[in-house]
Amino acid sequence: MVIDISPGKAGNALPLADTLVDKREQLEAFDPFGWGMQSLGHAISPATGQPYASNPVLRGDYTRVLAEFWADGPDSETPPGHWFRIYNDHVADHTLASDGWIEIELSLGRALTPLDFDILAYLALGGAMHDAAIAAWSVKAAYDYVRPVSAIRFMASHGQSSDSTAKNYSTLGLPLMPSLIGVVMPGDRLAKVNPANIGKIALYAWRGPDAITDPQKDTAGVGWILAENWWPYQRPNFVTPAFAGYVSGHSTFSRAAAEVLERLTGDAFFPGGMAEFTAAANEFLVFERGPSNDVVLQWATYRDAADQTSLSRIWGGIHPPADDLPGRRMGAIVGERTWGRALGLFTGANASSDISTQALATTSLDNTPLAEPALVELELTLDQLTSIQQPTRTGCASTSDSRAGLEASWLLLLMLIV
Amino acid sequence: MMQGRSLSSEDRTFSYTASAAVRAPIALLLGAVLILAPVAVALADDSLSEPLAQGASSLGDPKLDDVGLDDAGLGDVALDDAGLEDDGVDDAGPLHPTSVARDWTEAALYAIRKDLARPTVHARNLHHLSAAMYDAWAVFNPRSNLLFLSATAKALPSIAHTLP
Repeated sequence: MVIDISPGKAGNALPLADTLVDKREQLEAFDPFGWGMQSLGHAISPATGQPYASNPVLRGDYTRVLAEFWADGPDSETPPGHWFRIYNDHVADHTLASDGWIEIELSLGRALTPLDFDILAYLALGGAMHDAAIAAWSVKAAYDYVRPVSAIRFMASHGQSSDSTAKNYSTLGLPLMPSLIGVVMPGDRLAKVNPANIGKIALYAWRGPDAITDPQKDTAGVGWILAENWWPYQRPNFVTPAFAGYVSGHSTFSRAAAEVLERLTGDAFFPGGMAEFTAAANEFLVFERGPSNDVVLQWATYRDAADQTSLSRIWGGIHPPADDLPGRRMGAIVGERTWGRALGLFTGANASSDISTQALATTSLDNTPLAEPALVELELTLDQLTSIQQPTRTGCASTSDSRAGLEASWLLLLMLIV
Repeated sequence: MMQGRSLSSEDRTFSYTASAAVRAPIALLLGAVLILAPVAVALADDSLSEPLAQGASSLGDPKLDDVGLDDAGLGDVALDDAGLEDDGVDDAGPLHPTSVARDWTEAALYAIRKDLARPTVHARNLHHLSAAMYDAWAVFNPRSNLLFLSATAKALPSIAHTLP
């Protein structure tokens, strides 16, 4: 299946998905048989005034490249580092003209140098990444929610939930879907492999690392497999991150970074109207051989890149959409506030008492409320989150939990300085 | 399960020895910046103790930043001291003559690539590096507010005894 992944088609994802509260509507905003998420596209590039050139790719190449490009696992810079990389490679060397910079220069009392620009960018980006981590991982710790590999295998172990007359029916089972989720019948290949498989749930999916001998030469391909053997599209030695799924760290980091870069540059679009990355044919992928052709990832806006990061976790099978959207929303809050705080420091607009002085100056860490996280307030994101999404387990997310996280981070900072 | 699959070094398996080897550069990087921060304060105190008019006039002098940062050792020498070149690393990126901050983030990103994939830890590392660089910059830009530096210089002695 060929899809056009140019920003003209795949960019500008429906913002609806960020605000929908209803879970069914949220799911419908995703497009599992197309680009991943319903997108409006960008009509023209503001840099050239022309439409974006089409960029047709095989969807199987696109989704695999996405999953690996944004995996940010072993040997990578991790998601927060990835966004520093994006700033260094795609933003820092460009001359940016923004009305906002005139006011900053007035505050600073002189013209801005490249160093000034970098210092402000890193202050905001670093603060946003740290706060995004605190926010997302606090929620992960509070809900301790399941990853797809566990959920799919667990549900499959209970059977199917669609046909109540069948022997393998269970309300805890997987719903049957034509051509995607089925039951092994006598005569099927899986039944011939082992007759005991009859009645088990089968998925039409990536066949997993068991189907790969040499990742340089082999591709696992897609086919019917037992659901109990389902793998995310990941390395066999890094199957799924060793922490809870809800909410997606990728979504939180990436939206926060996109919000910061948007405000820093005064432009929703990358310099030149687009940034891109080429994944070379049969070289780029390391989980298996591929992609079959060169794939050029393109992002018109910082938001496009962030949305793609979020989607990559779904294509890679380590986050469901339910992990994604709340993370994006938290990231939007973190990014906006961090930018405001960083800009206030940089231009001297923040009163000095607004900074960490108060918390650090207290003589008792036990009795005095600690300052907010480095640059924003975590509690708000937690409160908003619980109103956004029905918590799967209640009673865990409390203010004291987040305070504990804060305290730990402050203590660590103090120890480093001492 | 994975019989027959060759787990070469390119499979990028985790290695705690490699990880340990890389913690030293990270510590050096962060340590260097954090340790250099007081140096920057001392430098700043000298200039800030001058009459305000003089300080204000030096604001207009773009050389101030360059001189101060060079004195604080954040230039080429510091990168050498962090051992990046001794390791034969060629992907730490070129030095950026206009922005030593770029060099330090590239050095941090290099170290992160060599460490385990720990997003929260590295988000914190990048924040501390960025904040320390910001404070080192801000002491030369009196119109900006300090982030951590102003508080720690005065507050630490009084709370140090409360720490375990």
